[in-house]
Amino acid sequence: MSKRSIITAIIFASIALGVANIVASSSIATRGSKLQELEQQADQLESQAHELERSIASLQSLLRIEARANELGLTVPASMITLTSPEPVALLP
Amino acid sequence: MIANRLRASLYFLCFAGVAVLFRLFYWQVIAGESLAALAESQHNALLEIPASRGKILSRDNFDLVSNQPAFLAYAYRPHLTTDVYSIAKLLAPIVHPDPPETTTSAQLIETMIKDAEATLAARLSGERWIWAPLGRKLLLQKKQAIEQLQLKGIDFEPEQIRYYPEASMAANLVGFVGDNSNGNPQGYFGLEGYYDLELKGRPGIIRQQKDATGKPILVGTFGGYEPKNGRNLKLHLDRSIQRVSEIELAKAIERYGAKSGEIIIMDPRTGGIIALATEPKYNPVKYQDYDRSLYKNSTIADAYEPGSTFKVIVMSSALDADVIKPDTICDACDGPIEIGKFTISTWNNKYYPDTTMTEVIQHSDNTGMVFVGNKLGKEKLYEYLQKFGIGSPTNIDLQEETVTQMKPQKKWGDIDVATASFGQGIAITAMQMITAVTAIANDGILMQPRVVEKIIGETTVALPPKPVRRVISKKAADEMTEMMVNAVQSGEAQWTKIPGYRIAGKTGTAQIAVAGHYDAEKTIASFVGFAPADDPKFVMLVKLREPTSSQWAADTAAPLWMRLARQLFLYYGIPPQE
Repeated sequence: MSKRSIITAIIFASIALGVANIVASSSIATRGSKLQELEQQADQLESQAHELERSIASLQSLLRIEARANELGLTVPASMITLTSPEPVALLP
Repeated sequence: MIANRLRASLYFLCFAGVAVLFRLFYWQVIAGESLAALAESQHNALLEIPASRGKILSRDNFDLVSNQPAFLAYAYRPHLTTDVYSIAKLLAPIVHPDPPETTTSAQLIETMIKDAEATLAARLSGERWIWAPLGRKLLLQKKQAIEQLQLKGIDFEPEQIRYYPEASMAANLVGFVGDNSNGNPQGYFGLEGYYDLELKGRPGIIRQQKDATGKPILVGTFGGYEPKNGRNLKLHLDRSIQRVSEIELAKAIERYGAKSGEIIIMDPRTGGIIALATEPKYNPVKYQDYDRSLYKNSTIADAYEPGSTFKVIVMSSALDADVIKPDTICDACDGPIEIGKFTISTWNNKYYPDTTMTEVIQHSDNTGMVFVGNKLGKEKLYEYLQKFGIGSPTNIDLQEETVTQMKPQKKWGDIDVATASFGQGIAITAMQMITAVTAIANDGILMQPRVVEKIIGETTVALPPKPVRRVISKKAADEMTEMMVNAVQSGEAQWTKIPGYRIAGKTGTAQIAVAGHYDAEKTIASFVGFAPADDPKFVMLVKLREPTSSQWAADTAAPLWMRLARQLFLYYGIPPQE
């Protein structure tokens, strides 16, 4: 290959690489706005997750369970019987 | 002529060159640092990523304290399109501070809105601002309300605030999160104060290059570090027992007309705090609305004279020292005892000659305890009290523990031995009292009280039970337990006993010292005990300050203790033994 064609090839390659670099940089830089959108979306999802955790805790709280039990008419038993020894299954005749 | 012109041009060029050099010197050397910082701020964004504060979990892994999203609303001046007075008027009804819980006055709320409007208008009408905060810690609903106004230049930064699913449950144990002098969140009192470093974590920083519109450049340089969230605390606290304790305490205070009250329930084998209830309490969300005196946990911060509950400490010491036995006869119990200018009498002026030590505890006999104190002697009594932890902090993992020092032993006189033997003239906290009794329930070994069982983070740190020391022998602990069982079965509070259960307990009615003398009417009624006596599942102390329906513990604190014990037997599935 002649010296001239090598120089031409180098010049074309340099131009091609330069253009590619500019295109890539431009493309990547413009994706910054996409990144910003995704960051906002991540923040929103995290915020929703916290809100859902809060709802779960609120629904499982004793305060709510008590209130719900009262609504359903459940009450504390007035008296209780404790069996301290096992009852016979059947008595002999 | 030409030469003159050339000379003039030369001078001008020289002067211009010197001027440029001076200007360059100014930019590069004098203003170099600030200009570099300005350029840095235009090219780079420094974002702080807040760390989540650790949660506080009850024994059943329920979020006793967690976080909820909140927002900082701010105005960015270059993007504002609405006039600032209109913004202030629109936002004030949304961002004004919440009124105190106890207030529903529409007039007060109206005033608060007007104040908020004036503050916002003053802040936004200034000339020298680019960014201005409009409201902090706004909940999601308020954020949405602001968004609906569609005001340009108003934006939000995420924050977190504490959320309490069980409302004010265990508020005095948990503490609260407020702002420190730099405006950063900080834990105060209780667990939030004691474990602030573990809970708060460390915020992260992202450093990235941005373009002219402020958007991040992907090929730019990134840096910084990830946030490190705070660690979670798992407690020994059982929220069901805590809830029941708080309900029963509130009812008892109303029923007996007491000023305040406390309940502590402890696991005798681990020293774990199963429940700790105090009344009155505060709402940690709106702690600012309450008197500051309510913030501290009275079970560890307020000392009181324990009265007759203290007799079990002195009696078990004497049993361990082998200076008495349960059936030792008191030969000084047939009447009041004179010590110097003081006369020691019994609480009801009844005297039991030839009474046994078991009966001394049963009758809560002061003269019998003076006999025991004298048998033990000043040196040994002092030594045993120190071993039981009197005069020292319990080292519980809560922030505000205080301790009242005992008078130095060399300053103790005969009257000090006598009064200490029945729990007067000595000041302790409720936590010290229950910790000492826990040693009797735990075969003589004193345990360090603990609220937190585990610290959960990237690595989990278990906090195992910590025995402090052996205080008395197992034999002495067993003998004392039997004497306490007899006190419940046959003592003043026998009407409250629960049939079928062996409960070890002791009442205490202590007079309150006011201006150097004991007030005849004002008492602190308490009951301390454990059950089942042979294999204790819990140790419980209840304390009522200045009950008015009756000043005696047998009529107030004892029935409260038994009511709660009934529920604990049911909860733990402990059947009657007899």
